[in-house]
Amino acid sequence: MATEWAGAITEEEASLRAAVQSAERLGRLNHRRLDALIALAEYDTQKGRLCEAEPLWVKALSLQEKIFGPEHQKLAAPMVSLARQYETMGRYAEAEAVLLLALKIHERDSVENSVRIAEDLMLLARLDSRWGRWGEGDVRLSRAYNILRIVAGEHSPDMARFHLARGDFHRNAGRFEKSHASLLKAVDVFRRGQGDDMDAWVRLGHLARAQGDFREAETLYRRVLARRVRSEGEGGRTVSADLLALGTLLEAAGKGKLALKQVRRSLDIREKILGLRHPDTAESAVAVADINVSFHQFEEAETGYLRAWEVYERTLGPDSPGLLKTQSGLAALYFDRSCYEEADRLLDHLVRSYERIFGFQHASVRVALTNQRISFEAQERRDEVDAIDKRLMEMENGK
Amino acid sequence: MNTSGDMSPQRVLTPRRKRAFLSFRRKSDLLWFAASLILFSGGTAAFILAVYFVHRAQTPMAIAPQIPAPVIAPAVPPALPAPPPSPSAVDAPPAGGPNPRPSSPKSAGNGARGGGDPRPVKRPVAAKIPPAPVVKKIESRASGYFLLQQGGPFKSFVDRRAKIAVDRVDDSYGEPAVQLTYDLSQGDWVQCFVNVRENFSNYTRVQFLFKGEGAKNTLEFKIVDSDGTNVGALWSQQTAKKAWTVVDLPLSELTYLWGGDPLLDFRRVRQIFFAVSKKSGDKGGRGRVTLRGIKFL
Repeated sequence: MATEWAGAITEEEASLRAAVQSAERLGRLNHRRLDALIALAEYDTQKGRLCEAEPLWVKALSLQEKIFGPEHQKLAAPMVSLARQYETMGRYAEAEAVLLLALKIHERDSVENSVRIAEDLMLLARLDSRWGRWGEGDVRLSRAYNILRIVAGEHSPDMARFHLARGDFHRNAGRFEKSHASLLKAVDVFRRGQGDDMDAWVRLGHLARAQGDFREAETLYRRVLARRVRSEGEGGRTVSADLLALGTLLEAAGKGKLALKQVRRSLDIREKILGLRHPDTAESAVAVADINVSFHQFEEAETGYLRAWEVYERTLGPDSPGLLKTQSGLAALYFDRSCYEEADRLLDHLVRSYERIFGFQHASVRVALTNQRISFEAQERRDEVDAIDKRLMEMENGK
Repeated sequence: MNTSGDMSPQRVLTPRRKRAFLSFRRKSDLLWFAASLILFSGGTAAFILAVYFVHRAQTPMAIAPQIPAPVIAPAVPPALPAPPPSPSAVDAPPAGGPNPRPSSPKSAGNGARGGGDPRPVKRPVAAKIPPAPVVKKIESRASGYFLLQQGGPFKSFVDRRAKIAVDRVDDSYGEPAVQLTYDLSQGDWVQCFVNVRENFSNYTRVQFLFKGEGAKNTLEFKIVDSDGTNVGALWSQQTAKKAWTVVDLPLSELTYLWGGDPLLDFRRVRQIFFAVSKKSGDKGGRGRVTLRGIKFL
């Protein structure tokens, strides 16, 4: 596999790397090196190889810092970009730190950067939702709303994006009514501004699914999918995302065969346009493996999971949510097959990963511990079960 | 990178209930169970059948289950022309054979089932002899069919509530013998037989020795072939003789008794019978007959 990955270097990438090397020969501080680094980092980012792009972005950022000075206005945008990448890689603490720095830079000239400040706040609110810090997220969203209302107006595209972000936030917090209201506002704003409201409809589908209304969710997903197919064609990138959303919904609704069809279409499109080693392709592969498990095609499912694992580990790193989802699916597969040794190893790894990412009190850690407890209980390992029970009790009591 | 809007991508495992002896957690489990049960049952049945047929192929085939009844003796002459006992010689039967009881068609028809055999029953010459030389003489022959050594186990039939016990014993010379202990107080005959699958067409004579004790009754010897033809010979009131009596009888002189067709197929002999019966002039009651050296030459 290592040779395959090495062999995946294209001519374009090779030339970009050569440009970086030749620029570095001119000295550490020069604009040519900065441009070459940014070009290579963008190329890796576009390919989904964030593990390789991230050090390049950091290098570019440190170079800019040396060229323009610390906390220069020009540093904020790459910082936000880097923070988004950290978020995608599951490195939420680093993402938050970089975003706070960017917000600080933006806030130095708050009049000029008011919209960017609002965007930073929305991103921070999203990170808050990942940590489960709903209060802080509400404050940040409220502040962002006030800024946008004053600066951009109620019916601006920025405000529509804000409504989308707020809808997501409320949905993750379990406030489905507020989420629904926000998303409908987003649709309204998009329509007034002749904008593309399909993102809002997709999110409404997500919301319906989170509420357990599979029929409504399916209707919404299918409507969006039909429109996207008309606008992008059958092989568009967002079409593949919509197909995946529809497929996972159908699987949750118990329509396995239909789900498999949609998810396979999504996988085909992504393999075609993104390649086999893109994290989005891995996401579709995991969805196919999930459905294979429900069809008791365990060998195919295991192969799919392992393939996605490798892609995620190489592209997004060990903390990425996709990798954790893959490992979780694989652990469930091993547990179902009574391969307790493998399942326990993975479940233990998941507990440690979530503890590292979110700390010891996060809901994800609780879920991982509960899974581990279920596995131990199935093996009648009473001592381990008691230890986990004790820990879960302490988490409940907030110790 | 997360297009399905799933913020908590962890799968939650389904807790397992405590394992039962049989658990059908999925629909397919029931099918697997049924298929396994059918396969196991089929395999077991096939094994049992295979063992049965292999065992059956190894055991000699029994003839048609026609239970032969003992010969009811025809008119018996008052006494056998037994020569005086001679300790050193066996009286071989003469070629023409002193036939002590020439059977008439009438008398044969009286007793035997399916009777009416016109051929005379030629009696073997019986003589009292000391056993040792005879035994040595018989055993010294290399060829022949030794019933007690080569034949299978003896089985028995009785009339009504008559009793018989068939025991294999060794006589005083170490030669195998068979001892028939009978009780004819509540029946007219008892008999024992051996299943054989042998081509007797190469043999011309049958030899054996017998002695008895107890009541005087008739000893019978019979051969049955595959179609149920019974031929044989009988010795009236001879079962009480305590000295060994040698029988050397040409097979061609055996009398047709009943069953099958009048001709015995010696290539397909299936059973050899010895019987003790109570006929006219016999006492019935209890007694014992010992047979040894049963051989076809």
